[in-house]
Amino acid sequence: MYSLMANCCNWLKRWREPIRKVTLIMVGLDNAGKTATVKGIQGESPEDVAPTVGFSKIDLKQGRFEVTIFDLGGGKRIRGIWKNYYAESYGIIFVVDSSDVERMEETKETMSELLRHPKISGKPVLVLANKQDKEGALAEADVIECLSLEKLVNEHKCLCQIEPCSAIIGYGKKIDKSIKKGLLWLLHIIAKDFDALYERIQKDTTEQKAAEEQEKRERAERVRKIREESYLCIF
Amino acid sequence: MMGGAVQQDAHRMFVQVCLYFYCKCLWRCLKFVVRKLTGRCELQRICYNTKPGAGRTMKIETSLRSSKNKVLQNAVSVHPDAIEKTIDTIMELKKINPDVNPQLGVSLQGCLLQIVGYRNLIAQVEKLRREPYDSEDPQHEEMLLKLWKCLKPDSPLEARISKQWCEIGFQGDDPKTDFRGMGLLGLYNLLFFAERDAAAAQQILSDSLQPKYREVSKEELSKFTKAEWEKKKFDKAIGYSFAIVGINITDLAYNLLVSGALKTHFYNVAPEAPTLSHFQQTFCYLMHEFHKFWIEEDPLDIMEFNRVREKFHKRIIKQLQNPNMALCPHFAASESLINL
Amino acid sequence: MGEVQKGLLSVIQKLKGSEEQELRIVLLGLDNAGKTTLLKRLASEEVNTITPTQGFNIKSVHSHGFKLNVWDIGGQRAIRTYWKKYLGSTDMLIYVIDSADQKRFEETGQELSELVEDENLTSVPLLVFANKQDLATASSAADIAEGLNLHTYRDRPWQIQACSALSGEGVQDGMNWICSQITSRKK
Repeated sequence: MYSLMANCCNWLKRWREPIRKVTLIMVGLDNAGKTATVKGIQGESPEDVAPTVGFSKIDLKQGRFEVTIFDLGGGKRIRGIWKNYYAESYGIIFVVDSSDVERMEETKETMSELLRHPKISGKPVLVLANKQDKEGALAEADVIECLSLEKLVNEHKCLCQIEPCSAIIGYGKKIDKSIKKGLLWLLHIIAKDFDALYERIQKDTTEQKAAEEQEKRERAERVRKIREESYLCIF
Repeated sequence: MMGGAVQQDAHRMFVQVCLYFYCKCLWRCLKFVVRKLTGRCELQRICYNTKPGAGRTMKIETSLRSSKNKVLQNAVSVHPDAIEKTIDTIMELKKINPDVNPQLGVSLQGCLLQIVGYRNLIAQVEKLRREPYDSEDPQHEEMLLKLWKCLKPDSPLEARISKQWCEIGFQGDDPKTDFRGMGLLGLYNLLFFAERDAAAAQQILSDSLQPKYREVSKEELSKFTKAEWEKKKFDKAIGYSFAIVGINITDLAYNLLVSGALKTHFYNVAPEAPTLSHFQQTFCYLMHEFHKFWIEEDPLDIMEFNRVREKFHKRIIKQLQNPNMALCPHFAASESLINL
Repeated sequence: MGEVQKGLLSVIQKLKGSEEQELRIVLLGLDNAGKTTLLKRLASEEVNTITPTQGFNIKSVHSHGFKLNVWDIGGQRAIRTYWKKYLGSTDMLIYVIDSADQKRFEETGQELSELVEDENLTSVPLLVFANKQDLATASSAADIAEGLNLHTYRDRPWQIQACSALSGEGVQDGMNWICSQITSRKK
């Protein structure tokens, strides 16, 4: 009887909660398994994934959350685009190839650069220690040590959770439970501090949008002048 | 059901293969019989029965190419200086007495000169085509600047890199990027046209630049009387880029040459070996004709270019299928040619 | 002999049997970007006799079990005004950039941003080919992505692919991305 009441209460509480729109960014080195993870969450087979040198996104509903996940290319040169998405992200999913021990140093540097960015510091980070299905994959504790994760997250005041997983063992309903668990954790943390995050993100995105609009207008003006000069050639 | 269709196709294919071999054998037997009957070999018969020109030369070429004899087969690709000797060898092989048939040697020589000349022209044109425009080469630069002067004698070019190039139909401010697959050949042809036939070239250029009032809105339409509108309709302003169309027509001419379609024309128009000059004159003719064709077709806009070009191409090919065809024997830019 | 060959080909085609899905791809970019060279590469045709495009070219390419109808539209300024007439029912937009023509990066960026605002291209995936990487003065794909502000396109998946249409390098990688997009969209 008591459990029934508790369930009713929970359900009522959830029903009264507003729908929250949340954006997450999925980052990590190239070949970490970001696109495979995203596809798996979406319910698609992660086979035959082409390297992302750009951007794509997925939308999903989780409880009262409407979640958008930005899947961003992780190659050394394209990583430069990540910062453009920091302002609007509520949380970060950082995917690590646990079997690629040689690149752990590079992963650490990349993560450090990410977490110290003013638009990221303080936001929750989910670290997916992916490719656990591969031989030689580092276990959770080893990954934490290689990345000096504890030090990093404390330094930048980011709440953090690490989940060892494999993005290819299943997709959709059969997705690796750790991935689901990690995602739920992330959303839970975001929900706890939602109002503050929301304020911060509103401010940052308004600023960013204004700057983008300004740049767009200026470029349009410059190009308009170029077009006018060649009016003669247009027929 | 699919199996039935497959079977039908396989059967058809088999029949076609058999037919091919049957025809080849039959044809050889026929040649043998006719030679015995008339006392003349095929080459003699052709020269005797066909008047000089493309009809004769093309038949000679086919006969030589499909001969069993290696000497005859290779005759079509000898060096021009070796033609006389080759003819002598052929006459010997066919047991033809030059004293009894003095004209035959001369006729055969004439044909072979044309055949070999056409091949060499292809090589020459190909060489020019493969040569990319080089802005570091003073000769190339001189040609380009001359092109401007010929087309726009009253308008000085302000700078080598300039938006003015658009006025003669290049895409950007440096024409070198427009020659592409046609290379120097594109420039050679345009310049030949602009120099030798300046009046026509300038006229076509001016036609191709559409004046502003071509765009007529519905309100403006109502302002014109019927007579005025009819006049505007036949306004020769037509909207294409002169230089680029020129490069595309060079491509068309090049294709006609390489595919052998121009043999009819050259063998009728060039009494000896066809030269680059002949090719360039043909280009001028094609520019003229295409311009007329474009106006006739009255396309909605430039986006129809490839459709119209393809139609034009097919028309020329059809014309060239007539062995008596000479595309431009009396063409202004071909005044220096001797007609047969 | 040509008749025989044609007959053989149709036999093989009938044996294959299956229906392919058809998709419409539009290839755009400034003049001299390398669109037609890219088109011919995709169709495995020779790229040595290309001339500037007046109007447009179409080719059908078979890739990964799809029939891709690719429309290569001329990039000359006068022709750009016609671009929007060809955008209906587009499944994919490929935008080609001459990576060595830095003077015109702003212009090409502006053209692209105006294009993607067309309602026919809502949510249509975008592949940007940073072409002419074989040239020493070519900017990197990442720099171009930055310069074009591709990050402002949040309503569609986009990818930037460094390539050289002349040598063929990078072209297949771009096609692989296209096909991965299409397979997931068609599901």
